[in-house]
Amino acid sequence: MTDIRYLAPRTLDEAVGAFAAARGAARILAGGTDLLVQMRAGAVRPGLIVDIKRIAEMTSIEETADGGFRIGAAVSGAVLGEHPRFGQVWPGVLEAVNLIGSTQVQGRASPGGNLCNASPAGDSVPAMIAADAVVTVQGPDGRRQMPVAAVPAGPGRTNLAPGEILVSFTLPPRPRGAGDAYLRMIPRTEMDIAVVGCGVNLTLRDGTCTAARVGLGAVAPTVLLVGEAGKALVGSRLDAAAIEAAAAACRAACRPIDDKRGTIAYRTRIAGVLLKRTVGIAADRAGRA
Amino acid sequence: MLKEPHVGAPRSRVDGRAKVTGEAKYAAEFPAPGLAHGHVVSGAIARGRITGIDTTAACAVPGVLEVFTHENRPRTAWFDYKHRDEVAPPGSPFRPLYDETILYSGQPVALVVAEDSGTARHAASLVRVEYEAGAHETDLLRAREDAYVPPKRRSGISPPPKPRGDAVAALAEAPLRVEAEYRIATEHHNPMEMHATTVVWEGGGKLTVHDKIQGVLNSQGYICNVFGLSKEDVRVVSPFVGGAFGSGLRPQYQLFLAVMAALALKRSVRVVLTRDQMFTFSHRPETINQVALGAAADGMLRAIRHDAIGATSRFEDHQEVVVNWSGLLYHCDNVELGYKLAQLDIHTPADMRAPGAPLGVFALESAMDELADKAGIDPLELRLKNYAETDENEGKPYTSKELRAAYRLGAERFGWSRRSAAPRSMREGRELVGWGLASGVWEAQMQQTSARAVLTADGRLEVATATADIGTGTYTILAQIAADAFGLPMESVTVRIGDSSLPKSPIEGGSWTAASAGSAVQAACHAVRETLFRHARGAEGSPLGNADLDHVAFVDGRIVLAADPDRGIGLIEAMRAGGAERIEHEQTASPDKANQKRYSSYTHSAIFAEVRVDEELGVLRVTCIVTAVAAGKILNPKTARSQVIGGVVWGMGMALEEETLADHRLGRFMNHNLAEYHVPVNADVHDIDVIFVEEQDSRTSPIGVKGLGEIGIVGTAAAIANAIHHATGKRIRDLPITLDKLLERPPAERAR
Ligand SMILES: Cc1cc2nc3c(=O)[nH]c(=O)nc-3n(C[C@H](O)[C@H](O)[C@H](O)COP(=O)(O)OP(=O)(O)OC[C@H]3O[C@@H](n4cnc5c(N)ncnc54)[C@H](O)[C@@H]3O)c2cc1C
Repeated sequence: MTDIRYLAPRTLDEAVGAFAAARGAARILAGGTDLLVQMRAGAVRPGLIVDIKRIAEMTSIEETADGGFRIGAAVSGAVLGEHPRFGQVWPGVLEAVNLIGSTQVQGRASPGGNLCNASPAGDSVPAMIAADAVVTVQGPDGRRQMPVAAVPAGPGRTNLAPGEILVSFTLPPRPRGAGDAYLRMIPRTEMDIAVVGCGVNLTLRDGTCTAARVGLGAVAPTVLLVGEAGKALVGSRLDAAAIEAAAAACRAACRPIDDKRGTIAYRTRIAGVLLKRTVGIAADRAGRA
Repeated sequence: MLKEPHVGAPRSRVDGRAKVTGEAKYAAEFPAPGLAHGHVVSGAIARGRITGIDTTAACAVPGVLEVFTHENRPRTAWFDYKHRDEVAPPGSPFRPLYDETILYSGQPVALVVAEDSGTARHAASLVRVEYEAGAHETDLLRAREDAYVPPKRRSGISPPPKPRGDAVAALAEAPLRVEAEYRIATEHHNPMEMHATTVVWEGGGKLTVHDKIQGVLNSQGYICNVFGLSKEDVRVVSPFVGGAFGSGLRPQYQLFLAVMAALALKRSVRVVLTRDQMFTFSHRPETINQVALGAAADGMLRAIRHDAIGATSRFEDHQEVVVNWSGLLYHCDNVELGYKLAQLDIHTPADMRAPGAPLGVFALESAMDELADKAGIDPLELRLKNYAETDENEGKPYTSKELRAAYRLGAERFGWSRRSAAPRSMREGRELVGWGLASGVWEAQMQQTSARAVLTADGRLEVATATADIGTGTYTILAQIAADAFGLPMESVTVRIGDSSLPKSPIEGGSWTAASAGSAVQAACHAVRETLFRHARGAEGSPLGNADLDHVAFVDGRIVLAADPDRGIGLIEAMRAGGAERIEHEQTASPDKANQKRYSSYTHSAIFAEVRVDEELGVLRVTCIVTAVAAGKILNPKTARSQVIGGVVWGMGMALEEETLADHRLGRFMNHNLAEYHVPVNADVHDIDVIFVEEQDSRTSPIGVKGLGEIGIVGTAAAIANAIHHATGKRIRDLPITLDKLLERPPAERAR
């Protein structure tokens, strides 16, 4: 049989040390809901597996002093869903994370794994991008931070340097009147891969949009931050023309593929539809916040 | 008061506990000392030949016992007819590892046997195979040009009936015409349990084989023929089957490989296929239907033409009943039906739940909906107008047919009368709502079956027949029938099935098992009853003295006078009186030949579907299905309902999701796993309401049963497609109706 070594260190330093020493022959294991599937399919054959779930920093959720959140990269969707406050502050991010798979999958799947798997269709990624989340990574040369949108490099590839591990996500504090939302389109009702995913995070002051970020998934090799869509919304009262302009920006940003789940034309069109609907939900939430 | 019988009452599965606790053993779960494990190497090209196999690296892995290929396999029966199983279609069956020829993609080319399954799987990845590829064809749209009428008919499958009237002329003259092509994609069975075989080497040349099969006798016969063994030395024991839906009717290649390896290595061997490999044998054939309906302005049918082309392999003519339903469901004097096959470089298709029927009925019932639209007649009214009172294909009356009642009860429950006729006229919120209906039909059959009943002096009853329970509830209904024969609680009955040493039974398929095994069990129980009754009458001071069997009832473990239930004698007392420790009888139940000649027997259904379409996204949901089923006597409304629901959900899959896509450049199925081959998930399934229509049928089987396994799927896809048309105004004639087809008019949509 192929020999696979398995390590479950209790500290990040140990994990990084072992991961870096293996020089690309190793894989990080969070929930394993992507990794194990890929190993079964013979797509990856790691010589060493470094399980990060015993490292406290990677499985904990903290509210930061300024009112933001720090989420360990290996926190499961189920645990995040049970946090008493997170879902109230970031309902869109939470619904994106909780859309991943089924109840069983939720018990394992993590936002860190979702991001590092670097699928263009990863559900939590557009919502994290919209939320302006920043990740902390640690490698042999120490720690650094980068925006979520900078992590994926292409399907299945990240911009993490050799030996680097994604440690946590930091979400900024929320101003008053802020709301976020995530919607995805899948052909069947659950257990499917997004054909388009759209995350919107915006702030309203007296009915006027003062800040807006739009993340768009499954329409390009990586999940996109659609700056133009955000710009189209900011300064407007989210009137039909502004929303249509944002939808047009989303459609323009699309560089999708044709596959069994949806054609290029379909994905492009749906990006606009989802933008409109997601903005509606986020604005509703912002109005109540 | 006599107690309520078990038959007809909702009863939970008698094997339910064993299944959920893991006590029920499936083919891959039987232990054996010294068990070796085989892993199959699947071929990579669709057609051609193997030019070399290098097994050196695989053989070098510690723990590997042998790598079998066509070059070193032990000798087996040479002639292909020896490989024909009970239900093989005409042709030359696939013989695993027979020679270097590659007939289809995914064909097994080697079996690696090792001490454990992980080693076997790893070593299998080291087998290197070189091929010389030949030109292949897997595209039915191209192969249809070469379609042919199968020269030899498949046993049990009726070819299309002879034409009646003059359909061509009647069509030409008809004021209303619908002509269109309807297609259904290739589908796979996808049972939860993988195909697997455990061969237990018993020593002394004897084998016990646990195979995933819908008929243990079929596997036994196959093994004996292929390997030249005698039936005394081969016992096939498969008490539980984790779903099969037709994929387990014929012995599959893992059986051959496991037996071959066990005989060669003289030890026990298990071969379990992977989910990917579940896509390398047996599927529902891709089928193209052309339907033409001609009608008078009032909707009365004047002409029906239905021609179908089904895919088959290069080596066997797999046939199904696809078009005959179109001559059956409606009264029409001018009917012409045709059925052809087209060969592709694929494995031979296999029967899958209601083989043929949902394909042809989708086409016919879609076309009827189109006709209703053209005629401006309510689709239900159109069907009632053209109702067939007799089987016009064969010119015979029906044993029973309560389809009219099914239409009425289904329509009432669904609220059909509130439907507004025009497409796109019903809406709720941002969704369009559509209501559609279709009819379903499936043949009702009984097959000759034997069963044994044994009553022992401890008051326990055992009934046994070789049949299978593939999850349908056979254990449960047999326990009900047997318990009722003696007025016993079901807990006093043990049902044994799935063992080739038991009385003969045909494969479990065609919806005939309840009627066949049920009748056989009842006959065996009645024979035991007669003997018991003689003992009872002979008992000293027996209150039954002069009564005959017709005048007594079996209640609560006693035989009592029907007219005076207080007077009677206990079963155990009666046995004691006769000095009998056990009473055993074997009986064979056969269909009534005279009835079969005179009558036609079918089950029917009326299916009503509601869909909701989010048009901006092209997403649709099937929010409600009401299906009213007329299937004779319902033995157990609980398990029966589950059967129908299962069929309906599969019909939803057929309508919206299921499709095995081939990459024609490689000649290979692409979506060979459950992530990419979509079946409905729980969230896709909303309300399903099953109505069983009263139907008395004394001619199909002695116990009044017509069968239920398949009817649930027939017509369901058509009802959904019709509802989609009603919701959106779009007629999709190409299953599955995926969202791209709903949004952009597909090229396949070619109404002429
Ligand atoms: C049945 C099923 C349904 C699914 N449904 C969905 C769905 O609806 N939406 C969706 O987006 N995804 C879905 N997925 C995919 C998967 O569940 C998600 O991508 C999940 O978030 C992955 O998280 P994980 O913790 O299991 O990752 P793992 O499998 O443990 O890891 C994924 C990849 O990221 C790497 N990695 C993980 N953590 C780190 C880290 N901290 N630092 C560096 N690299 C790391 C791993 O080495 C691996 O390459 C589904 C999977 C299954 C099996």
